[in-house]
Amino acid sequence: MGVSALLVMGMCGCVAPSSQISTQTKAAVDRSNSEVRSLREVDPQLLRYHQTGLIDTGFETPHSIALAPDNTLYVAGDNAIRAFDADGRQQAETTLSGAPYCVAADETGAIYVGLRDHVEVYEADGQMRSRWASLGENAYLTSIAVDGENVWVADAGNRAVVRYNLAGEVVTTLTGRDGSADSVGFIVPSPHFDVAMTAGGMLIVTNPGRRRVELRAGDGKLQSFWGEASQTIEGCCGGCNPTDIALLPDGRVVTSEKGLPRVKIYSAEGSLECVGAAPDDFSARARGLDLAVAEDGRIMVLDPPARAVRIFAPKGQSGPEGR
Amino acid sequence: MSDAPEKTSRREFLSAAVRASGLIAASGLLGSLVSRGAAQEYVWQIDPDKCTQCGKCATTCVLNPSAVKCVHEYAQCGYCELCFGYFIDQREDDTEAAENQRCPTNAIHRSFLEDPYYQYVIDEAKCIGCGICVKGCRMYGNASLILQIRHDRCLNCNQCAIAEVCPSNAIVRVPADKPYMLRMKGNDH
Repeated sequence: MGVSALLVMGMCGCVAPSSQISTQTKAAVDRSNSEVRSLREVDPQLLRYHQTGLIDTGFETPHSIALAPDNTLYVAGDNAIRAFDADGRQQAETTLSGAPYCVAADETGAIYVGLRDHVEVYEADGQMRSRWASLGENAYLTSIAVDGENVWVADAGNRAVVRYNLAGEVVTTLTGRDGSADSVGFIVPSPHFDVAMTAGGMLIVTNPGRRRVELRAGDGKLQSFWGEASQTIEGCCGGCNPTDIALLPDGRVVTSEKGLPRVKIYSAEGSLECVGAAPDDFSARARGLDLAVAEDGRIMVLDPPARAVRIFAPKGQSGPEGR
Repeated sequence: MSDAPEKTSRREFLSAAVRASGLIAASGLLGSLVSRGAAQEYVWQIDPDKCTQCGKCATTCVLNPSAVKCVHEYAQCGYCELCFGYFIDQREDDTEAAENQRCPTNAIHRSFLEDPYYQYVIDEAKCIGCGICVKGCRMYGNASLILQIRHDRCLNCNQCAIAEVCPSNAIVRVPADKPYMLRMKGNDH
C-alpha cells in the first residue's frame, strides 16, 4: 500500500492499522525531507559569489543591518545599535529604549532606527536627535530607506509604506491599493516587508504575499513588477517571499528568501542573473536575511541564528580582512 | 461498680461495624481522590520550539491513531494563498487536488476567505500527528501549525512512549491546568 492509499483511507474516514500508519508515515516523512534536500541544491554555474568575511555581531537577536555612505556597518539587535568599521571591529554602541527591527543611515551621519511602532533618529555619536510619533498599536516596522528628502518606512503590521519628511512628519501612506475593488495592495503574511530607493528616486517594495518585487513612483503609483511563485531557483519560494531586498550600484536587485534561505541577484527588469548565496551557506532555519550592499558590489547578509553578518563577494574578488 | 465489661447488643455491634466500614470506605475514597489528583497534576505535552517533526509521534503513541494532532494557532497564521503546510513543494498547479497536498491523510481543509487569503482547518479525526504539515509551515511560513498532545485522547501514561524515543526531548510534563504549549511569543517569523 502506498502513500496514496493512506490518503484515500483518510478521505474515506477510515483509520489504518498501526503498522500501516508506521510504514506509510515514515515514507511520507522521507519523501518530504528528500524533496526539501533537492530544492536546497543550487547549480554551481549559477553560484557566482563566495563568502569572504564574517562579522560576529555579539547580539543575541540581531534584526537588521545597514551600510552608511562612509562604509560604517550598523547592526540593530537586542536593545541597541552597534557600529562596525571596515575591518569588522565594533566602534560604537547606542543603547535604545526597546528592540530595534530596522536601521538606515544617511550622508549627514543620521541613523534612523525603527522600533516596533515608531522611528528614532540618532547622531553618529549616539545622541538622540528626535523620536517620531507612533504609527499605532498594529505597527511593526521592518525597513527604512532614506533618499535625502524623505524617509520611507515599511510597516508590516499595517501593510503600508509610510513616507516621512526629515522632520518626522508623515507626508503620505502608501497601501499599494489603486482604488479598484479588486486591488488588495501589499500582502504581508509575516513580518518581512522591505523597501529601497533607486538612484532615480523610484521606490522598490517587496510584496511578499504576491511573491513579487514592485517598482513604484514616489506617489505610490505602481510602475512595474516582477517575480513569480516557484520553488525553483528562478522564482520566489514559499508563501511569502522575498523577505528582503537591496540594490547593487548598477541597479540590479538583490533578494533574500526564507524557507529556502538563499540570496539571488536579478536584473532591474527581474530576470535571474545569478545566485549570491545558497541555502547551505546559512545556519539551519535561517530567516530574516537582511541585506546591505557595498559600493564595490559586495553583499552583506545578516544571518540571525548565527548572530553574524556574512559578506559575499563575486568569485575572484576578495574583501578586506574580517570583511 | 462492676468490673465486668459492658455487654454490647448485636444491634449496637452491627451499627458500630457499619460506621467503621463507612469511615474506612470514605478514607479510601479520599485517598484515591488525593492520589488521582496528584497523578493528574501534570500531563504530557510537546514543546513546539523543541519539536523537529521527525514523525515518531505518529508511530510510537500507544493509541492508534496517535493522541498527537496538528493544532492550528490562528493568531500566528498568515492565511497564505500558498500555504506550504498544505501544499507540497513541487506540483503541477495550485489546485487542491490530492496529489498537491502535503498531508498524507487529507486532514487539512482549505477554504477561501477573501482575495488573497485562505483559511486552513485541521480535521483531527483524520490527523495522525505525522508533523509533515508542521514542518512545511515552519519552514516557509509563520509556524502557526504545531504538534500537540490532545488531552481528550491522551491516556497520560506514566511513561509516555513517545517521550522515550523523541530525539529532541520535546515531550515534557506540564501542569494539568495549563495542558497546551502554544507559541504565541510574538511575530518572530
